[in-house]
Amino acid sequence: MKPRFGVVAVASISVIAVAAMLLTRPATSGDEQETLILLYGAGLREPVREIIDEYQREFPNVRVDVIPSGTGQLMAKVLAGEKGDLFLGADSSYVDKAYEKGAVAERLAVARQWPVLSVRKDSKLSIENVQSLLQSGLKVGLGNPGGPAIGKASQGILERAGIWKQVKAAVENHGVFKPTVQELANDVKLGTIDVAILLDGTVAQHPELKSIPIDEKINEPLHISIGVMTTTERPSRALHFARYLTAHDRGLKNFAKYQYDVIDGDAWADVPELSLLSGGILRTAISDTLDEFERREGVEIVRNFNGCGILTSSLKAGGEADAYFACDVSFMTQVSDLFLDPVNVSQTRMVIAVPKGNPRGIEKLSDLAREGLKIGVANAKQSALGALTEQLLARHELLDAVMKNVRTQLPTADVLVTQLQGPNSGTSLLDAVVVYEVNALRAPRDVDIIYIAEAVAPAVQPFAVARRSKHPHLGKRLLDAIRQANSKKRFEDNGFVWMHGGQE
Amino acid sequence: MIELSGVHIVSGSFALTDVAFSVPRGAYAVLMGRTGSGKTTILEAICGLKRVVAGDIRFAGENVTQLKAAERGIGFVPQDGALFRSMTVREHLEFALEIRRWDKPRRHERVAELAAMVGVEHLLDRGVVGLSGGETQRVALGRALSFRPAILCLDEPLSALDDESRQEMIELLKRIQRDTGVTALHVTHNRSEAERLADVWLRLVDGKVVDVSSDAVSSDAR
Amino acid sequence: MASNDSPAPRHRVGSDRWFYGCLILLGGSYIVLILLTLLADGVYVLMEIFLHGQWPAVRNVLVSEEIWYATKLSILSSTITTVLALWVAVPIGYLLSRFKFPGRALLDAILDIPIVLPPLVIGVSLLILFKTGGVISNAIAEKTGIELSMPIDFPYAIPGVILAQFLVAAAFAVRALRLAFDEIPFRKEEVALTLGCTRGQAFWRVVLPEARGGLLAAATLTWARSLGEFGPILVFAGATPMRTEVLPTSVFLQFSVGDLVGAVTISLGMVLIAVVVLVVVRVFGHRDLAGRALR
Repeated sequence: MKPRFGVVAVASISVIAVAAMLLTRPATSGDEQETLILLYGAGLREPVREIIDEYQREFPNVRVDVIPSGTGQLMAKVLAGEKGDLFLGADSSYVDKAYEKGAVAERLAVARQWPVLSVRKDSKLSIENVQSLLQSGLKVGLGNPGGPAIGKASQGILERAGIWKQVKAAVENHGVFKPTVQELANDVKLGTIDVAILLDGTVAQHPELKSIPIDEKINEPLHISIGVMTTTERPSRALHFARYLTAHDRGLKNFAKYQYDVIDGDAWADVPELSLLSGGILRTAISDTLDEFERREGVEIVRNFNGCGILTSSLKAGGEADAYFACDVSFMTQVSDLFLDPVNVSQTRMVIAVPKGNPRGIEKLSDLAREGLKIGVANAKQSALGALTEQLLARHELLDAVMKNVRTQLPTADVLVTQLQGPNSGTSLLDAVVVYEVNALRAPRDVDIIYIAEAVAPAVQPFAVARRSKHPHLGKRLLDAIRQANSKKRFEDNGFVWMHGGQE
Repeated sequence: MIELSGVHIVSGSFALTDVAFSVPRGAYAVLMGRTGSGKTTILEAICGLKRVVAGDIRFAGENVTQLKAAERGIGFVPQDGALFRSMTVREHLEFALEIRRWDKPRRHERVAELAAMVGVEHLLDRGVVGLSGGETQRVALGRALSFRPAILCLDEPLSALDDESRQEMIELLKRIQRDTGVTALHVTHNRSEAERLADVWLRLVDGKVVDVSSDAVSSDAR
Repeated sequence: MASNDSPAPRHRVGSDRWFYGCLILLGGSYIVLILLTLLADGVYVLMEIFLHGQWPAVRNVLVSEEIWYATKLSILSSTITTVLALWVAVPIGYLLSRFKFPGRALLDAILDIPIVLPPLVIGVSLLILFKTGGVISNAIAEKTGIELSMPIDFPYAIPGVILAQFLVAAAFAVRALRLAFDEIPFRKEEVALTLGCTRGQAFWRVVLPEARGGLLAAATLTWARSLGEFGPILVFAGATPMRTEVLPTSVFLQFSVGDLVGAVTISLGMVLIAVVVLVVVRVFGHRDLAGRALR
């Protein structure tokens, strides 16, 4: 053998090149295959496996890879920027924390589970409550407080029972702390420990184990929830799976099978349709946000913009909608039995709009009653604005005087503003109209705005999801999207005043 | 042929100062001395394996003190042979020729000649693991002579051999030296070897090399 | 002769059986422990299959695309790591074996760092290295407009797997090669020099071929080390299935979801791979060396 530097070098490089080629090939030959990476709390193993199997069968071009671990550890990974698409946590507090830190974009509730004491079915031990854990010689297993969700929960339970320190000492002496609830279940199964605090759903995955409930006075349920990670490169696919997992006729069935206390989930649809009724005034403020939501979620929003009186009437007449974004709370209250917990998103003031330069010198509300003016107002029956205008004028005893001057009553405010813009400059059909600031701001070149000092009550726009919607959670996520910062900016650009997480 | 003058060598904590001697062309010189007296160090200095601090080493009048070992053209037979375990006997004999880029036919011819000279024809395609002591030294000798060096340095080449092999090797060395006319410097502490081989008899005593050729036969000089 | 009247009483010695007994007992206990753990793995899987109907769990592992990918990644990444590690370890090992220079002890100590550091720490440090590197390159980009970007992604990617393996395994390769070079007398190189070689020729033609056995040992050690590497990979390269999941990660993942049967099945697979590779290397390596000696 005569080794040559060149020969050895070339051989080395070719070995590396061949190996690297073998490693990269599958990535290129993926033909349209999409892959999702799901990080999940290990305790949820069985339902998650079943759901993934069924999902992949239903959508064969998608593969879901999993990273199971203790929820606490997963959260640490998610916060550290680990690549992945979905984070299914055994307790929402972890997903919420990731959301607050900007590592999770959307959150979807899944089910509740309860911490329980667990022993082998054939166990002769007398375990009745958490106090039983103090029996001497008992080998107790607990989740690591920093690891799985059950670790933190167990600590809370035992602290409320006032025996955390003792149990902790006992575990340290002859028990064990484990990083995942499944490992604990295994230990109980194998008999290396006598008893552990597990989760009822996990116990149900192990036929050898039985659970003993913990007194509800010291117990609290864990809320399983799934979050879409911000590192995802395929948010619509991730949300598609998340919707599948939280659909009552899909994933939640599997959770229910293992005795999880599942939420009242959305109905499954590959591409769900969400019908939205919205006051016309909101159109420019929300259109972009709706488009973005459609793209990200992979859903369709059927939009119906109109005067709110008309929308409310149609609802009263039995019209169907998944969500309603009303021009004012007065319209929402008329149909409150149809909707759940409206949330006030924005508000806008009433103003007097006059042609540019204010040729008639209108300065306050009472000026509208002057002889010979041509005034336009919104229709009180058909629109929020009209009703509010009427209330305002009545309160200041100007109603009759102004109504004499009213030349037109229209259902939507935008049309009123256009009436100020005459066919030629300097001429106009009306001398003044009472509209929302939002409407007036849309024609800055033609219109001047007179603020009404007397207008104390602005119009407030509430959003609510219909009680009978098949996709209430999707509707809620739409609301979440509308309340995001970029949407807020759109509202403010359109003259709305943002309401800080305002309740009804 | 080999001339050392004022040579100063440092080897660890051990130093030789002002070493001077000469070996005439075609002579067989034997350097004797006690174990640890520095015989091998002097040999290494001549071969270019040990740096010389001061003084000159000359081959046929040419100063080679600053030349690399590879450029000095010395055949070196170390103690125990130091054969290359990864090579066959043939590859040993060919090694220096290949480094010198001899072409194949010339190499083959030379290998055959060498194998006959040192008597290893029957071993040519064997590996060197498992060769006897005598065979090992023959291969080492053949390897050292392969490129026709003018000088041959031998470092106790016979010390590990049984009596019979030693006698054979002494005959072989004598014959080769006669046939090739190479100038040899042979380091040993064995007196009978010296008596049989030496044209020039050198002794290393207290760090100085003394030519004792004239009185070697008669005196029992230590 | 001295004035000893009677011959000295015969020196009696005890039986050597104790010595051999101790050798066998002490050494044997370790060998037995190794074999027992492997045996237990095998017995456990067989019991789960035949007594507890766990064949589906085993089959799940055997047909799992993720596991096959992890196997492939493990084998290929270890191979790449081995080649890279040898390229680094040969010069360092040779340097340490042949030369005395100032800072040699320090170099030796530095080479111990990857061996003594906890694997997790290595992973974290790598992560921090790349984080810091990113911050610095961003700062440079801001100040000068020069975009220094890594041509390949390391954290949470396959090159990260190899880097993590390399960092640890190369240190072992250096140790092994240094010993191999130590065993080759310098005299042989000197002879090669007198025969007309440069230092480089002497190294390539004499030292390296003679170090074959050592190279082979270093390569197998590096390869096996890389195959078993886990901590730094988990931290630095993540455990993404079909991307950076290697076999030890698979074992850990299966274990952490409580799938003990799956974990043990993969472990047995790893034992099998390691044994096959080691045996093949030994047999081929030895046959080659033996063949040369006897030719």
